[in-house]
Amino acid sequence: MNQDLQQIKKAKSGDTGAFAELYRTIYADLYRFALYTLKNPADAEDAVSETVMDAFSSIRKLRSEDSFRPWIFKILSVKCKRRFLEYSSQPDELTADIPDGNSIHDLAEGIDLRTQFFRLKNEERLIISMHVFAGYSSREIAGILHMNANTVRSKESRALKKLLEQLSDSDRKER
Amino acid sequence: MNEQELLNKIKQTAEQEVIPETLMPQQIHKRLIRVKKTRPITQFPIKKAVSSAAVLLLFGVLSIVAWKTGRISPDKKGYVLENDTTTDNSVPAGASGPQRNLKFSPPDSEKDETAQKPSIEPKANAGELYKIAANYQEVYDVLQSSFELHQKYRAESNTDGACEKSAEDTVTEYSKNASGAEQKILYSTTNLQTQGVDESDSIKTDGQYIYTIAGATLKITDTFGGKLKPAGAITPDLDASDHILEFYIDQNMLFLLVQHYETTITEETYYTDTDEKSGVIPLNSCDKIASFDANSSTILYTYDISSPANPILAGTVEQDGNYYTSRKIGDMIYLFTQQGLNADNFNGFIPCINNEKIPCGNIYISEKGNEGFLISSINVSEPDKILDKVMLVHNSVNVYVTTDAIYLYHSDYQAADTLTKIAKFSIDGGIINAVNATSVKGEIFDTFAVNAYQDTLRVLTTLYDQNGNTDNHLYILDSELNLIGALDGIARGEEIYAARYLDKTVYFITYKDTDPLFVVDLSNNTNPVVLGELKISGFSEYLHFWGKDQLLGIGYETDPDNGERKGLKLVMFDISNPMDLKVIDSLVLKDSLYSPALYHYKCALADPSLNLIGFAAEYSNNNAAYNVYSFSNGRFVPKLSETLQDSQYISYESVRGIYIGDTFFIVCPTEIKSYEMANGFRKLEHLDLTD
Repeated sequence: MNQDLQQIKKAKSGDTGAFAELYRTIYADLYRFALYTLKNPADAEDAVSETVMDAFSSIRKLRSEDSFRPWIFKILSVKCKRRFLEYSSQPDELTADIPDGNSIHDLAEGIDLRTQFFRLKNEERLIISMHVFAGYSSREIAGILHMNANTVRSKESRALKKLLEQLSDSDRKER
Repeated sequence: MNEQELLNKIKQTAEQEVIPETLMPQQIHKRLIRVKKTRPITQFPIKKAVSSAAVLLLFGVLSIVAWKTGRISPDKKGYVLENDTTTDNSVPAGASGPQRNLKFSPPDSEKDETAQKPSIEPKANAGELYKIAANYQEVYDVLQSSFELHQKYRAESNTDGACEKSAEDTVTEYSKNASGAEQKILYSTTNLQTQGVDESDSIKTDGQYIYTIAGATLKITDTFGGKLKPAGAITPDLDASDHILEFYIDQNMLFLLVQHYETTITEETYYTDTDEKSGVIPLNSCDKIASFDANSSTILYTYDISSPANPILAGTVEQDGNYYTSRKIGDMIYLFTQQGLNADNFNGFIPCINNEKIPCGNIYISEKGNEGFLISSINVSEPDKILDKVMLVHNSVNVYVTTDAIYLYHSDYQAADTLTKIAKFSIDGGIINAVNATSVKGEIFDTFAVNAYQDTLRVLTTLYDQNGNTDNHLYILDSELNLIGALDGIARGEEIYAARYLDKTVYFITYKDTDPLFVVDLSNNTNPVVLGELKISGFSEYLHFWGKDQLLGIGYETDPDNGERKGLKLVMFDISNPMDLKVIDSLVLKDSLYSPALYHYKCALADPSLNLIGFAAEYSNNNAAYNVYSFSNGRFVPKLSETLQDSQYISYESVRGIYIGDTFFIVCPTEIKSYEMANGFRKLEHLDLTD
């Protein structure tokens, strides 16, 4: 039997350890997803925290044939989207104050990519995050965001092209 | 770097992020243990309504946000939420509280409704795709099975109503000067997808006044005598989270669309903080959690603006759901909204239009779906009344509206080959009724790839096979959507980027490394023929006919060797001889990255009669400008490039270039600037709209 299925079964019966074990396999991606979508570490932390608590309290509703990963990412996606709505009602732009990453090596390039990624629009970051970190297909993204899959594909492709432009441009400036 | 490499790079870069300590699995585990301990085993808290009793939550919960109130600790990390607030056993609070968990039984009033208001005539099925529900139970059954098919997280709700818009022909119109003078003034109108089918926008003019949505107010500016003078404002009665969407103007009437959210706040007690002894750091020092239930609806306000200083509200209709789009054809307004049909709650919830539940005879069901797609018609002479209405239980459809039909289409990925499913509804005199439905191979990638002409519907699709190879198709359907002609295997390996139909001809752009412009003769419906093809570098995303013999493309220039984008590009094609297509001129905007006109047709100004091409562009130095060109003697000639203020409040998608007579205006939600066209676009006036 699939180990995940066993863990899900246990977690559904209220086994916190089993739930934590499931969480262990995805928490890093959950945080990366939230950070790259929301740009703000404190908000990302809150969003993941809420997601986990929501997921634990409603895991009874998870059917065992559903995979845990897409399910919990869906909760997080919806939370991120909702935060965008809250942002849009706030007058001041939430500036990202991101601490540096773990390793000092290769950071210059990474920080530039992140900086440029954060210049993308909310929706663009959300779509790319859903693809990269949650591993959703464009069809699944379309379902969660209530969009047409074509629209998702074209938005993502456009965003990536924009990002590439920005990167090559900022690269050029550096030289 | 290609897209996949970039995605990998993003992933790798993100792996350098430090995960906060509080999110480590062991920390989370501790919190879970604590939550479990402190929460009563029965997990159904009793709700205490703290909202005004006047707030009626009639329908299913659209969305739920829980946040903490009464937080004492400033520690942001002490944020523990229990969001299990709408479990099935929750108790509605008071008579006005949510009734959403009651089992459905048709109330008497509903029988009365249907008795009083029989449908104008029974609705027909849309082929096999959408069928009229025999009763509400059938609707619930669809929701139920969709729910089981796809476990739906209950908080998911807000749909992207406004994200799917497209645009087309700027129509130049002669009109009577609103000031009553007999002289005729040319002025610009919203760029539309279909001539004769008006579309709402956030900025419009009637030849004298400029109407601009500026936040929670619609501002009316008088341009008479070349001045910019505030002439009036419309401020609808909005709740805090409501916002103005778009509007129409028609002579003395203004039709304003507003997104409204009905909200209730309920507060509930979860547990008290008694777990200090365990040594776990208290993560939550409060015991109350407020939950926020929102139910959205779209409101159409009709105003008499005979006196702009004194607009009079003439009528209101309200339709459940998030705004999707709308159209105005003559005196008839069609309103499209999307309403989530809460999966936790699929027995007992039918959306309302003008406070009337949609009768089951007006509900179309398909195999599955958890969204209601609502369409209503309103005759502007009776702005309080809904003339007709239907609801489709179906997720995500695209809309194409002609003067006599609504086409709803979506991609279906279930078959081996992706299909586009199309349903046709007639809209004779505002009465909406299904004609038929069909499916064709491939997907519609461009808003303008679908077009009705006389008794036919022409559709251009791109089909991706299992290996990612593409093939493009053209289908011609008759008025009942029966297939009468097809052209397969066009531009294998490429994808359709932009299309335009001109009567019996279609021009379209496909792209992979170069940009072939294809022209296909459709005069024989059963046998469409490729007439010509022209390959140039780059690709166009938006096409606009420029007189009879020319076609304007707005897109990107690319490096033919590696596909790298080199900036926005304008191109003018000579299409006078379809067998011999030519490029007359092209122009690449230096350092430009993006223009909203590529994907939002309302952002494009293309007017051959006044020789104006206008659009906003963003540049690599982070600046943006509104640019105006003319096309003279076979050349694109720059006329104006006005820097746009970089403002976090204003998206460049909301900037419009319009003209009235000899004056050109750049309008955005915060300001209007005017220019004298005859005098080298000399700057005239400036009006701040933020006051």
